[in-house]
Amino acid sequence: MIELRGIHQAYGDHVALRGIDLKVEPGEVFGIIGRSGAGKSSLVRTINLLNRPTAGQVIVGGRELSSLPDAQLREARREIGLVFQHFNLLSSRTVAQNVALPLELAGVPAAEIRKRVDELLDLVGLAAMRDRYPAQISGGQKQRVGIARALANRPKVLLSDEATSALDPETTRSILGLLKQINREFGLTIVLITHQMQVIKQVADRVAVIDAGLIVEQGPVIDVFTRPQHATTRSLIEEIVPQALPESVLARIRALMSNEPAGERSQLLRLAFAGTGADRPILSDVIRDFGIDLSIVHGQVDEVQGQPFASLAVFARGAGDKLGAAIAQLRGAGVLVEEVAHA
Amino acid sequence: MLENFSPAMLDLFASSLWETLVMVAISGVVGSLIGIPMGVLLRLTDHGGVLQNTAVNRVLGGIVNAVRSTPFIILLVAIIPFTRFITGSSIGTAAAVVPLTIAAAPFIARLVETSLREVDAGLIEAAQAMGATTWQIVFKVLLPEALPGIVAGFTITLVSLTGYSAMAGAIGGGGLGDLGIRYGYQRFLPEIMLAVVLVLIVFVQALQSLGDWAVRRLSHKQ
Repeated sequence: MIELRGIHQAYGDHVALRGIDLKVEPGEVFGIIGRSGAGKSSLVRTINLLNRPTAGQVIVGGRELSSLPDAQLREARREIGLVFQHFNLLSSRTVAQNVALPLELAGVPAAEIRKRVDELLDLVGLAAMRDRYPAQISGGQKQRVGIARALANRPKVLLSDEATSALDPETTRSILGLLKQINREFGLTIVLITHQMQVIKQVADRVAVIDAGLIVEQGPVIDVFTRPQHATTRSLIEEIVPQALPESVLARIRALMSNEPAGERSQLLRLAFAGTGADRPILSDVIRDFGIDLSIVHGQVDEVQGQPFASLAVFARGAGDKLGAAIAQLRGAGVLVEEVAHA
Repeated sequence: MLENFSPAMLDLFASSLWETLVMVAISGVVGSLIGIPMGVLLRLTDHGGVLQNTAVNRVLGGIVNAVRSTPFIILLVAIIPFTRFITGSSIGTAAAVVPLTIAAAPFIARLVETSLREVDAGLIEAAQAMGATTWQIVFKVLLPEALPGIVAGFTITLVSLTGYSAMAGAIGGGGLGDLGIRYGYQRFLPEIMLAVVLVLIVFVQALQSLGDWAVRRLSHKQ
């Protein structure tokens, strides 16, 4: 649905994007995460060419936008809805008039506009607020207006630029719920730009991590969560899945390590597993099969996109050969096992 | 003292007030018709504007500054040939409207430009993302959003024009200011001068209150 090829973007000496290749499939929710200044906003504005890239191609719905003349580019932009962090609603227009704006711009007849605005306000649950001005409604309600407005021209793609960053956690959840509902009901392709891993976790199917103008990692959300490869990804995931162990835990581990019974081996392991495997009694199995001790010292069991996933720090102790065999069996069951430094 | 306010003098007050009203209203309206498009063009061609064009912006800005730096009393006499070309005469109320309009237009242009600058760039970006043309951005976003500011600027313009119009007496334009100078100052009738000032104070108060009320009605920011 969206394809970016070799996108470079420079503002004078400052290079914001340095060769982005990206493909977003129809009907998916694609997350783009990065810290501020990583180039996220430049990237999302490249998709509707509000930012003209210095080099590269932008293809949306099979059409190469970068080669379109102005009039056709304006047409094409109507098929790409954009939701903003600070809502960008017109203070001089009521809720209903704000939602009507893109339809007026597209020259839709007044009767049709009225009908469509009613539909959209029902969809976002703001029918009762139609005659209020933006200054009279809450942040979450403003973003609902922003979403209704972005959907007015029945776009093929919805771009969300930090749509929930100015909202409190509860409102964030409800706005993300609305986006997910729209994605499911209308099969609308959504590209979400965010710096919050929580947002990716709640709604995205796939995620790309952007750092210093480059995509450093991308894949299904569950994979990126369980096997983060890049340092930036790890630190972004930290808020959801703690990657570093607290000092108190490490101190206990060091104490345990220092009085190791003869003939036994101890290891501090990180186990990550996701999907259906997380349901099976994998840990009980290895404990029973190899007669080793496993104690969970730290970790997290959660759900991403309806799939269970776990990331656990485990202190393992057992006879030398047994421990190795147990790790092999865990790996065989699809668990990601790595030894954690504890010194 | 009151004997100076004869029926004839009261008639003179009434006709002078009317002349002031005519001069301020016509120059304010015609000045806006010229000044608002100029202000819009200044904003659009400015750095970061939708039609960024440094050359046009500099030239237009230069003209605006030149007219605004010319003292009104000099402008009044300097453009007499032009005034005669437009109104057929270089004296009288109609003749005074021409220089007042020329003084008002660049003043309004700057006030409009400032109001437009207050419109959040995010709104323009949102309109562009919706596929708006430049024309649509001006009429559907910029002007409606800046309207309260433009009305406030228009009020300031009318008050300033009231002040300028006092100088119109120099070319026989009449008006309250002229009445004050001719009777109050040149004929040593201080009570006439005082009365003129009082009427002007009430006039300006009324203008300002009306403007403030309109701004409150139009603004939905709070």
